[in-house]
Amino acid sequence: MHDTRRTRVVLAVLLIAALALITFDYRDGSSGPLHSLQQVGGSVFGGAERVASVVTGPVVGLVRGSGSASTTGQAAALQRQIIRLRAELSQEQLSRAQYAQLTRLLQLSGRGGYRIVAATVIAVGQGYAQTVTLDAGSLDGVKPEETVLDGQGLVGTVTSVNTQTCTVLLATDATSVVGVTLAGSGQIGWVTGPGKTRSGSGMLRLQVLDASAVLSPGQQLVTSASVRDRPYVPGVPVGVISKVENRAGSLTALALVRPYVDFTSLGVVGIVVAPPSHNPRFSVLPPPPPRAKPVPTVTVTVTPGASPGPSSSPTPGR
Amino acid sequence: MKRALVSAVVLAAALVLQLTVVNRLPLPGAGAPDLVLLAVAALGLCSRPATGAVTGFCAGLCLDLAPPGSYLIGEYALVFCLVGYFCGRLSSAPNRSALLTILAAMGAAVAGEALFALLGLAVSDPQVTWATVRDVLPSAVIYDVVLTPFVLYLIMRVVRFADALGQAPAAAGAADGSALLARTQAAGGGLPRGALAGATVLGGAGLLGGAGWLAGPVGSRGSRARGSGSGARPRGPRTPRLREAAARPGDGWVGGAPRTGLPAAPRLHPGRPGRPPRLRPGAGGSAIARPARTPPRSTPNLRMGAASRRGGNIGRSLGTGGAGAVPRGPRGSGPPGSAFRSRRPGAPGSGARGRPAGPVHSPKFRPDTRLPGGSARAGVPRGGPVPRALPSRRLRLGGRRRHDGVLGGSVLARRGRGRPARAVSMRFGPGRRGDGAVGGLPGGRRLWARPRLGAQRRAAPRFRSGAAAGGRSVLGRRTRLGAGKQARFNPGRSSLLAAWTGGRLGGRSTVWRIGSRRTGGFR
Repeated sequence: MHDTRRTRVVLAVLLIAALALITFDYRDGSSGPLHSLQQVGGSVFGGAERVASVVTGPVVGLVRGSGSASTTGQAAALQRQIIRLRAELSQEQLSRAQYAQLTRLLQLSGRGGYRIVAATVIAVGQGYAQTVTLDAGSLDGVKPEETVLDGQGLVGTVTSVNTQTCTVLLATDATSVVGVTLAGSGQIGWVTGPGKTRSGSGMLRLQVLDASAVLSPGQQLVTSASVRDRPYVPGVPVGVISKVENRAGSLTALALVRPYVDFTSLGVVGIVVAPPSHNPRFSVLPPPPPRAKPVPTVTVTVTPGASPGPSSSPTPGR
Repeated sequence: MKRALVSAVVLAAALVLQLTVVNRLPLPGAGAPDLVLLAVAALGLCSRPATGAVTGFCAGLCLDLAPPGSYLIGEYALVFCLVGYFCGRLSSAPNRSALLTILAAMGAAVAGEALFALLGLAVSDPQVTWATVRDVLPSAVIYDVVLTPFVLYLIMRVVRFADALGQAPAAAGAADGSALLARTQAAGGGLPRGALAGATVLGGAGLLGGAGWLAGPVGSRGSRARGSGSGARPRGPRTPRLREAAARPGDGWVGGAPRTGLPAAPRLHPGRPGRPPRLRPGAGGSAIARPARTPPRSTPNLRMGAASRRGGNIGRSLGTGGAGAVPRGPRGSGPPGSAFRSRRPGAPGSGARGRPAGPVHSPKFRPDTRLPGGSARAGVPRGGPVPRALPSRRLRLGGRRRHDGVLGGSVLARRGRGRPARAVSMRFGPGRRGDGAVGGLPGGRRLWARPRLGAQRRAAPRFRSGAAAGGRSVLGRRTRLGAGKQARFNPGRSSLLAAWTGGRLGGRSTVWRIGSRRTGGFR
């Protein structure tokens, strides 16, 4: 055992340093000297991740392409396909918006009017966090608390920005809260993430402020407007209600929401750097599923003994 | 320095791989393996506790600062620091085999994951809740345990390679194991060809272990050479799998240091009735015991772990029957027994050869019947009658204890204990502090005598290396033994904490230094 006194001193110093770091970070948040330390570390490791993702990206894509097809069940695949089809319109519009960003003709095209910086996921957070790193940073005009969306819907929001990378808190993270509006009824609520769960892309939890609101599966959610459009721009599709949990006596109506975005296979995402000048409301939502049209029924009421022409105009003689 | 560089490279690679690849893989279950944790555990198992703690802290801090980090800064640093420290503690545990090493790394990984979850719960991290821990922790632990042997093997290979890298150009006339053996051969009339395998291994012992017994004395200060044969033979392409630790000054030889122009092994303080020194396999003739008699018979067993301090080593196997009856396999065609290699009986270089019976998979001590020297078969009892303290120092083959005695010869086996001539093993790994020479040791008999009173709290005579002692050995530590300086003894106070914990904590054990400015006192 080489456990000399010096070793113990070293260990004690390191432990105290770690505890001090935790404490300072807990107190200060995103300011103070730790923040600059984080900036330095972020730029260093972010650059390394950018370089590494050039190599590792195709590998991951290869593994993911084969892995997801084999691991997910057929039902889940079909469900994803349904969701994808539902979000087809939104996807088209957003890709058009990305294209427009490239051509600097953004504000005019696309109904949402999002101005988007396209970015790629280069790293995924460790452990229990649901965070990703994108390869766009402050050099690309990204600022904290900007909305990140996918071709399918809402991905998350930017939490910290370095020069070349930024960190995105996914909507499925346990600390993520997104204000939403129900597409049909206009009810206002919020959606919280489930955290890291066994199923990977878990269901979001919806709570609607109005306890008497009638929620039904299939209702769609978009982000509601935030103050100065931060952290979420309005009108981004979030998900669709898949299960309603009615709890007697609860203050809010609860439901589980299946997100449009498949958070396990994030690839190219867009960061909204300029929110739309007007709220697009529900215009970027995928079209609602076609409902069965009600068959019109005609009810004829025949009253015996009555004159056949009750609705006839009064006789001019009376 | 080189080790630090290697650690930094390994950790950076592990971190980038973890963040860009592993976390993105669509693995079943919520958890993912933690490569950085495994790397910290593996590096800790290659180093000492302080180094492991520093390594873990740096790795954790990097993981905290790397971009998608979403925890409080310092959480991973805290956890990984502890993991590295305890892995360093385990690395110096006695009698470490490959299986134990892997198990230790697995345990460290599991403990690290659990500790991080616990820390997240303790600081009420909103992402770490009981529900998510229930989902994430089991799968993460399973992935870690599954990946541990591979990561451990890879990192140990890298570390070994790096350790061997800078020392490839061996200095001419370097005092290393092969040179020693060559010189011994020249002096002793030449050993048969079969000894050359031993030369390789000894050279390898010098290669990885730093040839500490030679690095100690004065004449070899500049020799950072490893075991490329400067006189024996060109070194084989394979390096023995030994523990990467420098030998310590004070390592000694069993059977006495070779006399042929080699500096003598450092002498223990003769008047000190401390713990017996550790012995190293000797190649030369003994000062007391007889010179070499038989050519080596088989390749020795190497083990990855290092012996503990004061672990006993045997000069050679006891008795000729067991050693002679060992089936001999092809010689020299393979590397010495590796910790990670499957030990098939009869495989080239397999470590299971030297042991006549017993489980072939156990990477424990095995007799080395190859080396000459030692007094295992010496018919003459050396040093007079065996003291009565001997029964407390058993000769163990498998799990040795810390204070095992030293067997220089067959004294124990024949007279004292009457034990059958069981094969005992030699150690090729680097020595540690307190290793001493038996055989040629003046006053060697006193080393056997166990002090009766107060012995538990007194450290063995220790030859401090480093700045205080002014010495360094091959791997960074050379020893200059101060001439004429006397080690003094100062019984340390024992604190209350030391009394409670039996000396594990808070102890201020006494230290012997020779050549140090601070003689006596506390460490």
